[in-house]
Amino acid sequence: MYLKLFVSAMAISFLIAIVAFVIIARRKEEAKPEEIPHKKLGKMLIIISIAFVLVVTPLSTDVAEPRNPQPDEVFYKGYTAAEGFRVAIDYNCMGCHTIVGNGAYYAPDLVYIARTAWYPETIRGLLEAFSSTEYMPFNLTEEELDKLTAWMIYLRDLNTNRWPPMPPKEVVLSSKTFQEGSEAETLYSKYCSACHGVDGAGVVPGTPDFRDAEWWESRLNEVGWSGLVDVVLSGKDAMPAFSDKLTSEQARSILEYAYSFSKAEIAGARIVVGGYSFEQSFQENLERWYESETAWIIYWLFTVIVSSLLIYTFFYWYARG
Amino acid sequence: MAYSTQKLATPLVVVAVLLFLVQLIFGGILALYYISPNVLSGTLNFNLARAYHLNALLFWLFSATFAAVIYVLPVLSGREIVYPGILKIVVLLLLVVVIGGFLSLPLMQEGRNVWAFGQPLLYEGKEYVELGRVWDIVLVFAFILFALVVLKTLPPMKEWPLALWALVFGAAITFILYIPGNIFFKHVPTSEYFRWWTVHYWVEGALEVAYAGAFGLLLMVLIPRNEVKKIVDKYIFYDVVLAATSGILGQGHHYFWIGTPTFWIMIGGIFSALEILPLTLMAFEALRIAKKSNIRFENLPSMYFMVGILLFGLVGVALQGLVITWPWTNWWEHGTWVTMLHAHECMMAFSMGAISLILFAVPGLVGKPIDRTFTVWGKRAFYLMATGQIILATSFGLAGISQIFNYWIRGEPWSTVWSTRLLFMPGVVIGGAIVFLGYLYYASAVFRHLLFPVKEEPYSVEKAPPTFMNTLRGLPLLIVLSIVFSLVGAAGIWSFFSEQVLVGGNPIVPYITTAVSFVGLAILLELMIIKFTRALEYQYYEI
Repeated sequence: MYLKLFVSAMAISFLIAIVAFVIIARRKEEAKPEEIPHKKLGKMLIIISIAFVLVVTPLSTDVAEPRNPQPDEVFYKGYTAAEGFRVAIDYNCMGCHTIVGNGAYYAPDLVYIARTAWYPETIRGLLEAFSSTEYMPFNLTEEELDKLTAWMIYLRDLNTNRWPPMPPKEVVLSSKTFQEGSEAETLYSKYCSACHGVDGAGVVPGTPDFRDAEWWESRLNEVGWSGLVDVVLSGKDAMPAFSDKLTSEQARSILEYAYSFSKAEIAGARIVVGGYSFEQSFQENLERWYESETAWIIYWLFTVIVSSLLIYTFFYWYARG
Repeated sequence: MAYSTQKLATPLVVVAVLLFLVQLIFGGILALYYISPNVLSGTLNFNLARAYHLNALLFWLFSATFAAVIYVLPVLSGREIVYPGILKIVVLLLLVVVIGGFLSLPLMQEGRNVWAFGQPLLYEGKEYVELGRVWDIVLVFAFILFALVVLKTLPPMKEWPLALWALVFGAAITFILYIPGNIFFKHVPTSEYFRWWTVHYWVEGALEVAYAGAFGLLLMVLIPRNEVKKIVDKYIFYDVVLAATSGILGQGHHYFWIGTPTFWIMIGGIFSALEILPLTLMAFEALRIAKKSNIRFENLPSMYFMVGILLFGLVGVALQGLVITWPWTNWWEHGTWVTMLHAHECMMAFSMGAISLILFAVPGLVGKPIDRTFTVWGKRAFYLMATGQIILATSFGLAGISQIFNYWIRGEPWSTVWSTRLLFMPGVVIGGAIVFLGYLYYASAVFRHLLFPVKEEPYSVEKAPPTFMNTLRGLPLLIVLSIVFSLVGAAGIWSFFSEQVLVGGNPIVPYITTAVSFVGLAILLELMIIKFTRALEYQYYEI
C-alpha cells in the first residue's frame, strides 16, 4: 500500500505540474526583468509548509495519542528510563554510539544492541562488561548501570517503524519483562503474593486487581506514586503496615513490579524482532487516528497539492522567469 | 577602508581561522581512534574529541558569519555601525562561550554535570548541540544584542532589497531555531524531533536562504548594475520559496525511524527528494548570472570558494542527499558511514561559504591590496580543500556500504564491521591530510595579510586558449549526468532488498553500483570545480 501511495503521489504531482505548466504558463509571455511572477503563490507555499509542521508537532512528540513507551513508565529495579537518559546525556553516549541512528558511528547503534540483547539482565550484563574497558573508559556505579538499563529497555521498545534492519529473531514477551530476577520480584513474593496473588489478581477479597490498567491510572491520578508508597508503608484497611520491613525505595520498586502486571495481556506472546521490511510498520500502526487509512488519504492529498505547486513554480520560473 | 567600525570584524576573523585549526586537529584524532582505539582512550575519549570536532566547526562558522556581517553592514547601510560598544560586548560574549563551553566539555569523561530546572547546565550529550544551558543562554543573549545592532544600523525595512531580506530572515530563523534543539526533553523521540529543528534548519535556513542572500548582496556590491540587482532579486525569491517549502517539509527525512509517526515517511521522502530543486536552480542560475555579467573578479580566491559552496551544495548536499533520502535507501544507510559522506560534503559547502566571506573581507579589513601571493595561496587552498574533502567523504561512503551488509544483513559482531571499515581508512587519512595542507595555505594567506606588509604586484591572469577544461562548455550536461549518477547510487542501496543479497548473501550488485555512483559523483564534482573556477579566471563564460 505504501509503495503505491508514495509513487502515485510523486507521479501525479509531476503530471499536474507539467499539465499546468503547458496550459497556463506556456501561454504567457516571458516575464519582464522587474516582475516576479507568482509571488503570492510562493509566499503561500512557505506559510502552508510551516503550518503543517506546527500542526503535526504534537502528534510527532507523543503529546496527542502516544505511539511510544513513555520514559516515566519504563522501569528497571525502581529506576525510570527518564533517569537513564540523564545518565546517557552526562556521559555523552551519543558521541560514540548512534541512538535511533543519530549520533556518532564509532560504536554500534543502541537500539540495535538493545533489541539483539532483548532481556534486561542481558542488557545490564553488556553494560557492566564494557564499563571501565578501553571502549567505555568510565566507572559506572551500580545505580547508573540500573538507570541505563531502564533507558535501554525503553529504547528497545520505541516504535521506530521497524528500523534498524537486523536478522529476524524470535523473543518471548513477559508481563515481568522489566523486572525479571530483580529484588522487587523477591520482595513481592515474600511480602505481598500471599494476599495479592503471584499474578497480581488478588487472593483475599477486597484486594484490587493489579492487572487492571484502569485501576492503576485512577489511583496514580488520585495519590501518585508517593501516595501508594505511603499505603505500603503505613497500611490501609485490612492491609498491615510494612514500614519496619521495607524502605520507601523498596516499597516503590515493589509497586512498579506490581504495576507491570497491568501489561499482562502481552504475556507469553512470541514476537519476531527485526527483519527487513519497514513497510510492515504501516499495517502495525493503523490503529491510531493520525496513522489510520483516512488520515493517509489526507496526507496523500496534501503531498500531491503542495508538491505539484512546488514543481510548477520550478518549471515556470526556469522557463519563463 | 571606508568605515572604521568594520575593524571590529578582525578579532572574529582570527577566531574563525584558529577554530578551524582546532576542528582539523580533532578530526585527525578521531581518525586515529578508528585505526587504534586504545591510544588515547581514558585521557581524551572519542566522544569528547568528536564534541570538539563539531563545536569548533559550528563556532568558526558563527564567527566567520558575524565577521562578514560586521564587515558588510556599514557598506550596505552607508554609515558607521551604531553602538560599536555593544558589538565589542558581543565579540566578548562569543569568546566567553567558546572558552567556557570548551573548558566544560571534558567533564563528560567523568559524567560530572550539573542539573537545574530539569536542564543540564554545563554540557549536554547531544550531537551538534553539546553546549550546556549556561553557555546557550549567553549565546542567545549575544545573538539578541547582535540583532539589535544590525537592525538599528540598517536602513528602514521598506528599502531592503530581497537579498537582504533573505539574509536577515535566514539568519534570524537560524538563531531562533537554535533554542528548541538545545532544550532537554526526557522523551527520546521528542528530543530528537526538536534537535533536528536546529540542525536541519541550520542547513536550510542558514546555508540555502541566508548564504544565498549574502552572496546575492555580494554580487550586487561587486557588480553595481541595475539588471544584476533584478536578476539576483528574482533568483533569491524563488530560491527561498523552493528551499523553504521543500526544506521545511523535507525535514521529515530525519523523522523516519526515530519513533515519530509513519506519515513522515511519505511527506519526508517526497519533499526531501524535491530539495534538489533549489540547489540545481542555484547552479543553473549561477551559470546564467556568470554569462550575463561577464566581469572580471578582483578577489579570485573568494570567488573560487563561492563556486565551491555552489558545487558542493549541488553534489554534496542535493545529490548525495538524493541518494540516501528515499525511504528504501534511508532504511539501509541510516546510522552508517554512508551518512558521513553526505554530512562531510554538506559541511564543506557551509565552510566554503564562510571561507569565501573571510577571504572577501580580509584585504579590505586591513586596507592592503589583493596581491599575487594572496591569490595563488587562496587558489591552492581551495583546490586542496575541495579535493581532499572529496577523497575523504567518498571513502566514508564506500566504507558505509560494507557496514550495511556486514552489520545489518549478516549481523556480524562489531569487530568485523570495524575491520572492514578499516580498509577504507587510508582514503580518509590521505583526504584529511590534503584538506589540512589546504588549510595551511588558507591560514597563511589570511595571517600574512593581517600581520605583514603587502607590497607585491597584483595577480595577472596568463591567458590560455579556451578548452573543455577552462570553459563552462558542457556544464549543464555534467549537472544532468551527476543527477543520473546519484539515482544509480540510490538504486544501488535499494538493491540491498533484493533476494540475491538477503537470501543469497551476495552483495555484489549493491557494492558495484554504489561504488560506480560514489566515485562517479566524486570525479564529476572535481571536474565541475576545475571547469567552473578556471572559466571564472579566464572569463570564458560561454556555455
